[in-house]
Amino acid sequence: MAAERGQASIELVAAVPAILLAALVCLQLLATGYSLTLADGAAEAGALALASGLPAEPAVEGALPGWAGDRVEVDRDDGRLTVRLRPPSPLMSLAHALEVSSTSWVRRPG
Amino acid sequence: MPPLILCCELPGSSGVVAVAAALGVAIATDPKAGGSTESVLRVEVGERRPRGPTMLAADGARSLEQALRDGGREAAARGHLTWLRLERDDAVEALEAAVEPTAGARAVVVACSSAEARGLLDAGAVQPDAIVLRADLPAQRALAALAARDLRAEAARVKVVGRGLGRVASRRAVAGIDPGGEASRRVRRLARKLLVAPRPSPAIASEAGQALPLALGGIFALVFGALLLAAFGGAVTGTSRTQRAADLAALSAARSMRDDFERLFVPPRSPRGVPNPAHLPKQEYLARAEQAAVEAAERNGVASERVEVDFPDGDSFAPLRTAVEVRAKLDVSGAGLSVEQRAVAEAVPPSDASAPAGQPATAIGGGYSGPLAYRQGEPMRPDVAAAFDRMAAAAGAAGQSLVINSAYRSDAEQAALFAENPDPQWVAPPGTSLHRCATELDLGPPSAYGWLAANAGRFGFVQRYSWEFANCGEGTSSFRSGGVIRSNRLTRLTFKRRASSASQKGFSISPRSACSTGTTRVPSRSGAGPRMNIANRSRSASFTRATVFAPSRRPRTASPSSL
Repeated sequence: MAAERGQASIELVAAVPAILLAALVCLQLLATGYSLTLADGAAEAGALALASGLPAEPAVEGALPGWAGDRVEVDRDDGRLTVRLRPPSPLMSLAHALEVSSTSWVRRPG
Repeated sequence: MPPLILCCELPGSSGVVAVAAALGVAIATDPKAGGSTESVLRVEVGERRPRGPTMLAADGARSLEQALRDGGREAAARGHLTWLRLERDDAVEALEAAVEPTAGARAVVVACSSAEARGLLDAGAVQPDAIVLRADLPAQRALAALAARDLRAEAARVKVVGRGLGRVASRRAVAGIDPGGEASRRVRRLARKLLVAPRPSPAIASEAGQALPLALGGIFALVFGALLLAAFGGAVTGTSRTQRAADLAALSAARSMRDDFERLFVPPRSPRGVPNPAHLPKQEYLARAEQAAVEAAERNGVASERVEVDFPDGDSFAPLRTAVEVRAKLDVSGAGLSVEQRAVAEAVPPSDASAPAGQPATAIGGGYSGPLAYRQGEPMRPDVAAAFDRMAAAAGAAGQSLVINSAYRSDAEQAALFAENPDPQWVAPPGTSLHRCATELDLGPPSAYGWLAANAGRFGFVQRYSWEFANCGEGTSSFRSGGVIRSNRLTRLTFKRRASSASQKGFSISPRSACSTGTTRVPSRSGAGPRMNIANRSRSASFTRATVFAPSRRPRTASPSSL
């Protein structure tokens, strides 16, 4: 019995990395979902700009928070607008792997 | 150090030596009590008779006996036990010295009286792991209870033995062999309780694995929370995307309307009667808008059968509003979620729609405030223009060429005319002329009056003034305004669109487009001016009281019929 004293604490310390890892995974998933929501909003903002005959890129950038400025890519093909956004991640490769995209289409003037 | 069990007896009771011996045998032989090949040292304190070795003894007992004798002690191997006798006077020192070489013993069992036990305990000679108190119960129950309470401060376990082993069992035990029978079973149970570690409660049985449930619980809570948020986020995203599809579909339809808006007002036929490909009928205009909405919905991930397009102002002559309703079914964590989203978009008509250079496309200045269509340079409501187009084409087929002399005239323009000729009999005060409604047309030439009187009704127009008034054409030359003499082109018939047509419905995109002629002034029939012929007395007051006799609204012209 005396030899097992503190065993729970040791196990808890050993479990902390697992809990932290699970928390990081959850946070990464939440960040990815949030990025998808942002990409949706940005794609709609860009489409509204296209429908008004305005360039889409400023509208897309205006619909995104500051941290997404260098993480977004905009592709436009006539009335189709695709916004690709890399979510925040501690690993750049992971951010690339979890890149989200949102596409919208709107009738353009003329 | 082997475990040490101190066995003592209350005054008046006996048999502690046999109990101690049986306990030692049980410890040495019972596997459940940790039995092994090692011997148990049985120590007797006090003036008891010496005991010699037995013929049969365990090897461990023999080895221990030899070790003790080498140390100058009086020891004897007896069965499973090694007996050691200590004098009462030097029991404290002797026990400390005797226990030292017994490191190889399985256990040390000391038998003594209660007084001797107290002496050993007070002197600190022994620190027993357990104490067995021999007392005759129930006679000595109270005393045994008091003694046991005191002894619990000295050892972790204190047991009271209420009766002896019996004569035969005692002799066997003292000889170092199992007492046998019920006594043996009783002593074995006692040995297990004294030496075998008590089974702790399950909650504290071991700390091993105690953190695992906590860690697993934490991870489960995290994953569950993440899944819950993911499901919620999925529902929000799906709803948002459905709304986006509705928004963009409505916007695309409005975009189509705006792009096609001008074509609504283009004459359907050229002056030579050739169909004009630039003209777009209203039904096709709406169909193109609906097609644009459906296409946008499909390209944004919504099936066409889930899209419903409506035009709230579809009854107007130039609809500009589109309502799109999208019904979607979302799959949220396996559960179907029905979502209905609706969006309404409204197109702003282009500012230069069908307007000649320098002319406004939207009426301003008071009165009608909607879009204007221009025919022969004169502004009018688009639906009036469309009706005129049809009538002009029919007139052309009959060899008549219609000329528009005046159409829409804002309150501001009427005010300018009235300022030049402030005679209400000839020029209507601002706000009283029906020209402000953009539904009035002054048509000519006089040669077409007969055809107009016979056919204008087919195209939704109503004759307001008798065409005989055309005879006044030359007569108007007597009316001057600003030195400008009116030509005969200024006297024309005036036609109104029927009240049942779109003229009553106004232009839906702006409430300002509503045109009121509640104060429209009708010149007196008995006056010197032209006679009035109200075509249809069943019409609303705004029409029956109205009369328009207007010539051109050009700034340098004036007319006695600017009413």
